[in-house]
Formats: sequence, structure tokens, C-alpha cells
Amino acid sequence: MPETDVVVVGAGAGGLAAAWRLTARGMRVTLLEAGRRYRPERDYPQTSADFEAREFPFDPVSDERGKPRFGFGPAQEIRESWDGYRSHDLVTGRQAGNRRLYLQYAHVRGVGGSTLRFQAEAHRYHPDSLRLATLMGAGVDWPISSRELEPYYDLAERRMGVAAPAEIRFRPRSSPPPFPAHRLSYASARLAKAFSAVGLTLIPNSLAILPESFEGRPPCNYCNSCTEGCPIGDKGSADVTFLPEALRTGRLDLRSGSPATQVEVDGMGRASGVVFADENGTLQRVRARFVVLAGGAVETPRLLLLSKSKLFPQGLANGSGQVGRNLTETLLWQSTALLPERVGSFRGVPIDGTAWDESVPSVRRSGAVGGFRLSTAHGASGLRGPAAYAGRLVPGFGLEHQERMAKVFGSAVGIIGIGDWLPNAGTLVDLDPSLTDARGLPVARITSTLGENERLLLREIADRGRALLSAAGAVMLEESSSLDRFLTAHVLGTCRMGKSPADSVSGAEGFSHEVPNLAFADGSLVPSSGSGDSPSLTITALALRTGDQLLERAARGG
Amino acid sequence: MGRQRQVVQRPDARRSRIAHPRSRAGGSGRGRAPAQEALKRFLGDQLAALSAVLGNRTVRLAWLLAGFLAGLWVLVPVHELFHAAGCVATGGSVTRLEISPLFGGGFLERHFSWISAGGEYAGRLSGFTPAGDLSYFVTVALPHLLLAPIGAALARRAARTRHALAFGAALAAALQPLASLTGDAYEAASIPITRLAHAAGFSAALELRGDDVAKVAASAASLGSPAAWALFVAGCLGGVALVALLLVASGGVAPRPEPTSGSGWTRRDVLQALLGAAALASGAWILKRVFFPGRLSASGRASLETLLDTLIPEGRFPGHRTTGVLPKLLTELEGSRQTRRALVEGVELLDRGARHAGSPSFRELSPARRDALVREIAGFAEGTLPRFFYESVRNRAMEIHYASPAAWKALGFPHAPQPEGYADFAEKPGA
Repeated sequence: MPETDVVVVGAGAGGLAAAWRLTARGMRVTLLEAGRRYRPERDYPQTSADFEAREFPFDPVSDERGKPRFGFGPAQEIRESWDGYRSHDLVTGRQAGNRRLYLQYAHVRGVGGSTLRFQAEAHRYHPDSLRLATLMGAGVDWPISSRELEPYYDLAERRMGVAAPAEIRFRPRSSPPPFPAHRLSYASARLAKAFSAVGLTLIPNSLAILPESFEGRPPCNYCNSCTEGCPIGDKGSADVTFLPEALRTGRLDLRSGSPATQVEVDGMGRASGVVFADENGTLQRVRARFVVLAGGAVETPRLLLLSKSKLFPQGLANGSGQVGRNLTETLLWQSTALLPERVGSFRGVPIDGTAWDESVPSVRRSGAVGGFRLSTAHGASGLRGPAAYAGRLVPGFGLEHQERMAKVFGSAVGIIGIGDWLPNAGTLVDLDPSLTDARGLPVARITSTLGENERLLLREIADRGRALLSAAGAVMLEESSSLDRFLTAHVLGTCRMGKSPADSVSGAEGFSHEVPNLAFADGSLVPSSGSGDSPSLTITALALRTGDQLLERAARGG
Repeated sequence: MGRQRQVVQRPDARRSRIAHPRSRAGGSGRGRAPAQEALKRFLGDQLAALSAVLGNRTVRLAWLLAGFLAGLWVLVPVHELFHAAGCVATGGSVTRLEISPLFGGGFLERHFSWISAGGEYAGRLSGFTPAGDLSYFVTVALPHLLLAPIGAALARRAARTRHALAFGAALAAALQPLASLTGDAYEAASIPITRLAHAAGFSAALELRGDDVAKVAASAASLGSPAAWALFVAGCLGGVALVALLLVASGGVAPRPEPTSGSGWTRRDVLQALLGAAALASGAWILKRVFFPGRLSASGRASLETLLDTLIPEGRFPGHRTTGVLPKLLTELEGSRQTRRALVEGVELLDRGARHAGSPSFRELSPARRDALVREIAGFAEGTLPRFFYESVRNRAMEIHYASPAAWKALGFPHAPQPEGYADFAEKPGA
């Protein structure tokens, strides 16, 4: 007999949204989360003078015993012809050698998942991003239309408290956003003219950051620290948006510190429950009518591949070998530059302005397919205080160094560009052949390969970004990009939805093609990267939709 | 005429055809392929040693095996430690050493922070930065250069006195270069070979370095060029040659017909063992300095404070004394083994540099010359101790200094992000 209706694995953007929807509609949900529950006032208060040295208290690279959390596959060779676009900074010079450098999958384990560190960008994909194959002959089509997605975008925005411009020419919407947009910071407004000079329109970003009080959460006070954890709760991380209400229903059993190790199946090939290690490390089992996976696009395929059985010898729901394939990132270019005057760029929100002009997916002049946006991102570039300047941007020592610090502090600005990443055969997640976690289970291995499309697009993003910084009279200090580094939290597609089981893991409803009561509610479900969008709003919207699909299946008795 | 030419054209084929019967007949081996000759000498040496040790008592074979396994168990961690010693002795740095739990990795991990249990190898130096190719070569080769000759000397002595247990243990040391054919041997040989290829314009050559031949072969396959495979094969052959050379130089494990004292030692064995022991002791001393560095002396502390005066002076701006950098910096840098060593040796370096410039210590140098000396230390290559010392002290001191409100005023930085935030974010700063 099942002990609960649904077991959800992973309490991040998707898992908490699905759990919220399901508990609100009367389902009993057990939510397993590998990480712990954070307490903002203790874990990331941002009040001490050494705030810059106190990063968000989670290490995505290695665990408490120094064991790596993820493995990485072969590193791609970098061609010399791309030398003009390599990552560099003042401390280490060029960052990678002649192979792409795997830095990290910037994933947070904990209640709230990576939304604890996200910069609250809440973007809606352009409708064409769901039909790239049909329109442009590249990438894949989604099995659902943007019209089916839109009500869930609306719902997600309302729950998260999104503040956005009423109208964005390049991102149509049918209803107004819940809150008016935040103003641009002084530093970003200073760059607006330079954006215009290169044909871009800088407008306030769409953000899950409250401009006014909402449901007991305070308005933002523009401390610029989203990346290290929001101490006051105005940022719409999943632990403050979906969790409290789900807990109030009395139907949510949240188990933190409880990593799942296997999804079990019965003799009929249906998921029967999940095995997990409880807080004491003892293996436990929870049986449920439905299993929803929401560990993110790296951990979800890992759990499936670990869940081998007689009926599923290649791993659960992996009859077609598609689990872990089609890992889809977003393309990232980031730079830091110095303006000739001080603009107080340590104030505001981390990514406060965006230009969407180039973000409608298209076949570009270079032949690349997709699009990109450029944003003002001073906080996202780590420019929060004096230590960042002394450590990264102002080398040297002595009186000369002190004078320079006094002259330039607050004048550094950050720009980021994000663009399409088309799925390719060389980018995937599988089980690492040699690295294991504390329980001896293989960790996920990430292999990332930049395609020609990405390289062309990245070049375009960098050229435009450099032109705009030059138009602003700024001096370039650092640049980094996906060209020679893997460093991302945006991972999608490894159990993507599609019409055919031959090239997807789940169907249009977000359920596995092969296991009828196994669903997905995380980035693994999302088939495409969007053209300059950050994915968390889309992940949340799809997870809410998975919740509704599950309710329908349950009502049908299945 | 015709027959004669044929013989001249195929000398190798002829030579190898006749080599076997002759060697079996106990011939001198003249005319045989060198590799074959070496292999035969090696096997002959082993067999001679075995027959000397075992005599006609097979129970000694059990003792020999026990000794061999015990020797192996001790040698794996010792071997890895001497990789580390080789690296730091030549100016590189070491951060991580993996030893399999089978060889005591679990135990060592609990007692030494830089050792971690596990990994797919018996032992592996996985986190190290050599200071150039020579340093890299010494890192890879040192355990073999030290342990193989000592092992051989001890094995000869044990064979002479028919001590099977000791012979087994010594044999493990003497034969370890052989066990490294697919690992260290390849890596050592690949260092000069790939460097030459790199200098000759093959830019990916350095990727064919590595301590696991299978993985290097995979890299060669992914590079896919004939040049890559040629380098790989050259590395393999070079590795075999290095091992053969070392085994020959160690003098074999069979007892030699030389005069011995009553204890079974020949003069050569004693000399070889003593030299080896001296080398081991100096290696151990280096390891002690690296892994158990002392604390900074009072005068060292004063020199460090002078260094801070140079980095963050008091004067027009608040300096490190105002913000109290020194005590925090000391607690942190002395807290970790790696930075403590850098601190102790770095401060020594400052004083040595000062003496070189004719002053008794760094503290007594003029400010301008101190400045110049610090600049010189900062200019060392990445991965060297002086550079690491400079960066550790400089970066951490800056972080501590600029995490102090006393330093913020001059910059126009008002306060930490919370609890107030920056409500004036849309306004001109200072307005």
C-alpha cells in the first residue's frame, strides 16, 4: 500500500512548485531533498564587514569530505582561430589552456535549490523558441504550444512576485505582470546611451524580486547580493514562494538531508516508490502512487541511470537510451570594465537591465540559428564591495594601490550576454566511470561540447558587448565565456519532452514515455534553451503544468 | 655473388634466427638484439637470486611472498611521499596525494590533511604544480631513483644470507620501476620528448604527458594525428629504456661474487645502501619542512609586519595597522600547512633578499628597496613558492583590510549590504 500519493525528488524551482500545486489540490506529497534547509539570518545575513568573503554556504564542486560532486567528460579542444574570444582576467591572465575548462555546475543542494543563489531573472521564452525545428530547421520543437504554456507562466509569475515592464516588444504576453518593473540603477542608466549607440534598447529586467510587500515578504532594499542568498526574503526563491503555503496545507512531508538513491518499480513496470538515505544515513523507502523527479537536469538523469532493474536494464525510463542525452545549456558571455567615472555600481539588483532586441530567434547573418540578449549585470559580476576591487580589478600594492582604489571604486560595470545553445550529441550527462559519492554510488558525469552554432553566436554576442562598452568609454578588465569554460547553472533537456520516444524521454504531459506514473518537474524536461532567457520561470511553469497533468491522471485513476 | 648479397641485405633476420639456439648453448650472446640480451640478463639475475634465497626449501617461497607483500604495502605510501618530496624539493608545490585504502590511505587520511583515501590507483600524486619540466621529471622519477638502488642492495645482501622475508621486501623496492612501465616510466620519458615536439611546433604535444598510458593513448586517439601516435610510441619506448637503465645501474638482485664481511655485505652494497639512506633522509627532511612547517619566529613576524607596511602603508590612507590585518592574517596563514610553509619560507626569502642587497634584514631596508624586492618576488612564475607567498599574503591582507569600515570611508563605500541595503541605487553616488 502506498504511504503517500506522490513522492517528489528535489526541492528546487520545479519540485517545490509541483509540490505546492499538488498539496493545494488535496494530494499528500513526500518531498525528498538531498541538501539541508537554510536559515537566511544565520547562513547568509550579509551584515558583517567581511560579507564579501562569506559566500553562499554551499560548495558545488566537492562535498564535506573533499569528494567531487560531479565528474566531467573529455574536454573539448579550443582552436587558435578563436583566440580573440578567450576568457581572461587580471589575476590569472588567460583562464583555460588549449582545452575547454570544466569549472563547475553551479548547482545548490538545499531546500530552494539553485533559486537560493539565482539572480531572480523571470523570463518567458519567445513563442518561436518552442518551434525552432519547424521555423529554422535547427534544434527541436516542443510537443506543446506557447499558448498551453502561457497560463502557467502567469501563475508562476503571480506566486513568485515578478516585477517586469508592462510590455516588452520582443517578448509578447497577454496579461500585465503582477508588479511594475524596478528602476535601472544609476550605473546601468549611465550605460543606456551606449546600448542605443549599438542599436540596443536597455529596459528594466523582468525579475522575481518584490518592489513592494507581498504576502508577508518585504520589498527589496537593493543590496545586490542575490547570488549569495537573499537575507530578507524579497527574492522569489522557491523556499519563500511555494514552500510556506504547501506546508500550511498539512499535506507536505518535507524530508531535507535525504538524498534519493533509487526509484523502484513493480512487476508491471510502474514506479512503486523511492529509496533514500535519511538524515542518519539509513536507507529508507517511501511508496507512492506517483513519482515526480525534480533534481535538475544533471541529478535527475543520474537517478534514473542508477535505477536499473530487470525490466529496465539500461536504467529507468531509458529503453531508448535518451536519458541524459541532449543536455542543453545557455550560452554565456560576461565582461567587467571600468568607466572613467564613479557610478556606485555596488548598489541595485544583480542583473537590473536587459536589451531584448536580438532575442527573437532567427537565422542570423553568420548562419547561426538563435538569438541573444545583453544585460547590465554589476552585482552578477561580483562587484559588491571593496574586496572584489582589491582582489580582482586593482593589482599591485602600496600607496599607488590605495590611490587607485580610491579613484576607481564603484566605477566597474558588468555586462552579460546570454544566447541559444542547440542540443548536440557531444553534450550529455551519464554516470561517471570512476568517481563515487559518499555512499559509493557513481556521481553524474557532465560532458559539454560547444557546437559551431554556439561559437558563431558567442562571437556575435562578444562583438556587440565590446562595442557597447567601448561606446560607453569603458576599459575592459575581464572577459569570460562558454567558449573556453564550463560554468553554468542553466542545464536543461536531459529528459526532454517530445512527441517521439526515439528522441525524448517524456511526452507532452511531462510523464515518461515508458513508465506511466513517473513524471518530471525540472529543467530536464525543457527541450530548448530559449534565446537569451534565463530558464527558472520556464522550469517553474512547466513544473506547475506537470502537477496539473498528474492531478488529471490521478482523477482518471491512473 | 648472389648469395653473398642476400646475407648482407638481411642481417637482422639472420641474427635473430640464430640467436636462440646459441644462447641456450651458453654462448656469449654476441650478435643478439640488445633488448633480448637485457631481458635475458634480467631474468637470469632474478633466477639466480631466487635460487640463492630458496635453495631447496620451498617453505622459503612463502616467506618471500609475505615479505614481498609487506614491502609493497609499506612502499606504496612511501613512494608517493617521495613524488611529493621531489616536487617541493625542486620548487613546485603539492596539494593532494591519493592513497588507496588498501595501502593505509584511510589511516593516513585521518592523520594527514593533505592525503586523501581512495582513487583508482594504489597511490597517486594528484594535486601538484611542478616548477618547470626539470621539476616535473624529478617529481616523477625521484621515488624510483632512490628506492630501486637501495632495494637492489638490500636484496643482494638478503640473498647472500638466504633471508627470504627480507629478500621479498627488498625485491618489492628493487622491482618497482618495472611496475611503473605504464605509469611513471612513460610519464618521465614523455617529459623531454613532448617538450622537444612542442618546441618543434606540435602545439598539442604536452597533452601526451600523463601517468596512465591508457588515458594518454585515449588523448592520442582524440588528437588523431600520426604525430601524436608517434610521440606516444616514443614515450613508451623511452619509458622502457629508462627502466632498463635504472635496473642495470642498480646492479641486480643476485649476490655477486665479491668479497664480503662476515655479515654478508659487500662494499658496493654497503655504499649503495648508505648513499640511498642518506638520500632518503634528506627527502624526509624536505617532507618534514613541507608538511610540518614550523611557526614564524618573533623576528619573522616583525618582517611580515614590515611587508604589510609595504603592501598597505599608513599615511594618506588608513593602513593595515589601523584595520588590524596582522593578527588575522597570521591566524589564517598559520592555520593551513601549505600557507604556513609559504609564510615561513617567504619571510626567510625576504631577509635573504635584503642581505643580498647589503642590509642585515628586510626590516632594515629602505622603503624604496623594500618596494623593489617585493616587486621582484611578485614577478616570479605562477606555481613557485615566492609567487605563492606574495599572492597569499597580498590577497588575504587586502581582503582583511578592505573588510574593515575604517578602510571604506576613503572609497565612498557606506556599509555592508544589509540591513539597510542601498535605497539610493538609482541616484548619482555621493549625491
